[in-house]
Amino acid sequence: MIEMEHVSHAYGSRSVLEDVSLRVARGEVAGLVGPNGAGKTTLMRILATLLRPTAGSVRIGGCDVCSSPELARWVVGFLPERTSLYPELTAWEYLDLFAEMAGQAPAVRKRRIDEALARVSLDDRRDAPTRELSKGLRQRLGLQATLMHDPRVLVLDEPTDGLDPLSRRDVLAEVRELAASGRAVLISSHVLAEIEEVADTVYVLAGGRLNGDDPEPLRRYRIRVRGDLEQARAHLAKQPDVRSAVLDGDRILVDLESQVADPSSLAQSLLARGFALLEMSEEHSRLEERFERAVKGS
Amino acid sequence: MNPILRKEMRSLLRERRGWLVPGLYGALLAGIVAVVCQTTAYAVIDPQRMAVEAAMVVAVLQTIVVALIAPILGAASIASERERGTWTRLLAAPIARSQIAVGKLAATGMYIVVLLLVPLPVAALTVLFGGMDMASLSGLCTTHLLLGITLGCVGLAVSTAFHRTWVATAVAIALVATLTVTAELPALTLRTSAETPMWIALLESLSPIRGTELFFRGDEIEHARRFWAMHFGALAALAAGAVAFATVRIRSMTE
Repeated sequence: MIEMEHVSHAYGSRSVLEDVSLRVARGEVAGLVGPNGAGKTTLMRILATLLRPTAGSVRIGGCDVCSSPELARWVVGFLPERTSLYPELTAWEYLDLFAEMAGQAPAVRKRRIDEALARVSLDDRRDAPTRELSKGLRQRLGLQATLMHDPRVLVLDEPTDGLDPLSRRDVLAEVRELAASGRAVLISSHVLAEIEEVADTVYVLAGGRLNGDDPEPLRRYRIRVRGDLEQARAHLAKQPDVRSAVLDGDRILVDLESQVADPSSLAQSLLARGFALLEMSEEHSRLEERFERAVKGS
Repeated sequence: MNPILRKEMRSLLRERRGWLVPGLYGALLAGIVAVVCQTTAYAVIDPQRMAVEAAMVVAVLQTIVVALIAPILGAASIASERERGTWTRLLAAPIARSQIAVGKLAATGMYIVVLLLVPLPVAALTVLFGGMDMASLSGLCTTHLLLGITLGCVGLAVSTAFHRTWVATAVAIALVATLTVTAELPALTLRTSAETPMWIALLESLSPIRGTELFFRGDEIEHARRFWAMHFGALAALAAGAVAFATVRIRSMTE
């Protein structure tokens, strides 16, 4: 869905992105983390057709962002870092603006807006001016506006910035739901724990460069069985949602594709094949370590 | 309906400035006309003469208001979106950039129409008392509408170049003031004979106050028509240039 190949960008003589390549597949949530000034917002603005890269190619849902930005805007939904709404418009009118910009017929528009307001529990406050809404609700309303043209790709620049824990939880749950509905999502945040919670893969950006082109999956399990280890490994490698299964001494390291994959199904399948499960533990995330390494390296 | 125009109209209806400006303008106009009527010695003995003076007050005030408000509205249209941080979302939305420009311009035009409606009751009274005829009134309204749209386009073009509303507004006003002075000064200082040189006539036709001035010069119809055509043509050319500049800027805008 998102294919970025060797992208560089510079503001004048100051290079902001250097040879960045990333891919986000359908149904995948990719996290983008990095220190301030690492180039996260620049990268996202390139994806949102707001900036042209100085080198490299960007394709979103098959559309070349550089040669067909108008087409790409139909495929991508962009939520900027600081979502400002029109304070004098009501919640309904704000969504109506985005639905109308997407050229939807009045009946379709009305249905989609009502559904969106219900999703953020604003159906009873549809006529409230957006300035009267809490920051969390405004952010969620902004996200719903991004969805009005039904984009297949979502680019969310720090959507939980400044939100309280409950609003943050709601936004992240919504992001997961959107990915589950088949959209590719790229989300950035300063909070590593948040990215760990929501993302299937994480890209660490520091000094305009990505830390490794093949991001490590966030969920890794260490499994020990009684029986033929190689047979068990081969069996695990064939399971759905398993990205890789490799031997590590007397254990098997299993990387899951997605945050939502159910690890208990691995245990059940091993038991069903006659392997005795001796140990199964989740390895702690190495995101913080990767982040530190990337920042020091840059 | 253009979604940007709809949004602008909704915003204007709710914002204080939406009704404050026409309200203040109406009050100012009524006050000035009342003072003119009270202080004119021949108000009772010659109501037609009084109506002519009132018509002149309406026309001059309308010119000033349109020449001030139209560039301000145009200048605020994009700069204020950038200042509030809403512009990025419009640029990333699946709508043609030209549609955004059209919506912004149409909203400015609609507001100008509202401002043109404010003095209509007073203008109707001047028509009733013989201060001007219906043809002159509709001509004056058309002139002011064209002037408003042109200066709104100039404001919109300026708006694409700035991130702060007050800077864009100041530049737009300065531009209109410069245009007025540049267009009027040669005519005032260099015109010596009864026949106006062509280059002065051309320059003068760009002046925002030219249209109103023509109404009260009492030229012969054939002569006046030539100046009208030049003035309308100059305003249309200025508007087209400003729209082209604004459209190119908006289409190539990245943020």
